[in-house]
Amino acid sequence: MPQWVPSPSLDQAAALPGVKLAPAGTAGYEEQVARFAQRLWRLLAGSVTTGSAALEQGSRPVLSLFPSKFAESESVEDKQRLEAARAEWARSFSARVDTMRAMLSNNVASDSPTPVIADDE
Amino acid sequence: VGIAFYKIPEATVRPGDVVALAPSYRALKELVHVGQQQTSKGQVSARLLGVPGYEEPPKAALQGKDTKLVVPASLTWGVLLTRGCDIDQGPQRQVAVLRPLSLLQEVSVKEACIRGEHSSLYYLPKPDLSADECSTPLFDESFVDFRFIVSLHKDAFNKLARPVSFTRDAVLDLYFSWMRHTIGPQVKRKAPCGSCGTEMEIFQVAEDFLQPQPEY
Repeated sequence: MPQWVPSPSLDQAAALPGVKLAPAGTAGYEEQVARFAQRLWRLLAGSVTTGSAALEQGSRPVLSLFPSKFAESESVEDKQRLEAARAEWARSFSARVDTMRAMLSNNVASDSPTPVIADDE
Repeated sequence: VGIAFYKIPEATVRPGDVVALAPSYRALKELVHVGQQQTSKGQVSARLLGVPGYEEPPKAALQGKDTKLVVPASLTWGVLLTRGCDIDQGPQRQVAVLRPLSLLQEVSVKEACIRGEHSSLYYLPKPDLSADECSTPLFDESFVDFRFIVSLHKDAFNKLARPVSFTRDAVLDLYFSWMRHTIGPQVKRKAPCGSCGTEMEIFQVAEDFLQPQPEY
């Protein structure tokens, strides 16, 4: 399964084999490296998004994983905050659903079918 | 998370079905039209019209006739919003994009998304279906982004894989969140009580109102 792909730095991109760049420090070097790094990143992000899993599924490809290009490391405190938020979300879920069900129960029958518009077919 | 949020999809298409490689259009910064197409040696070519400062939009488009637009888009996970009645009777399928929670950089923003404090976003836990239930690799912890909804014809929608679906409860919660997105901050999750000032759960208040206690 594909893993997170970090965005390549300029130095990493410049150090890749087969990459010919203007000598460091000369005019255009940084721009050239930055452009290459962007291309490389787009390539990597695309492979994570629609890579081998998509091909294996034949006519109905699926995503294997979202690209996590902005993933950051979380501290213990951050993780605790997110866990608390997840617990609160799960706790309030049932209450929200019960309310929704009660609110909808008397309204469903009064809804009229959406008219069919020929141009939209 | 201990709640039934996801399930294996039914044979028929239902609201809450999650599809893979659904198109998600980015917000258009300009309208670029596909002009008249020409075929030569098996290759189709067309001029792009409407690029600001270069080409005028096609006249037919200005007269209200159909045109083809060049739309920046990505293929990603999406969830079907269209209600069951409209699925049965109409060809349109409204699909909202799913985006990974990891796209949100700051922990405070992730936390706010999970707590439902962004009315445009609806938090999704990571699917916990077993490999026996669903062999397809699914998405990580995510959110529905109501700012990006695409209408597909059923013919295009039916070609998408539907490896997982929301439960009935999850669909109801999703719909309520969608309603919050459309009408804005009038529907809050919590608000201070008008009498005592204590913060109260709005949904509980609504439930009590709809199902009053016997002694009421």
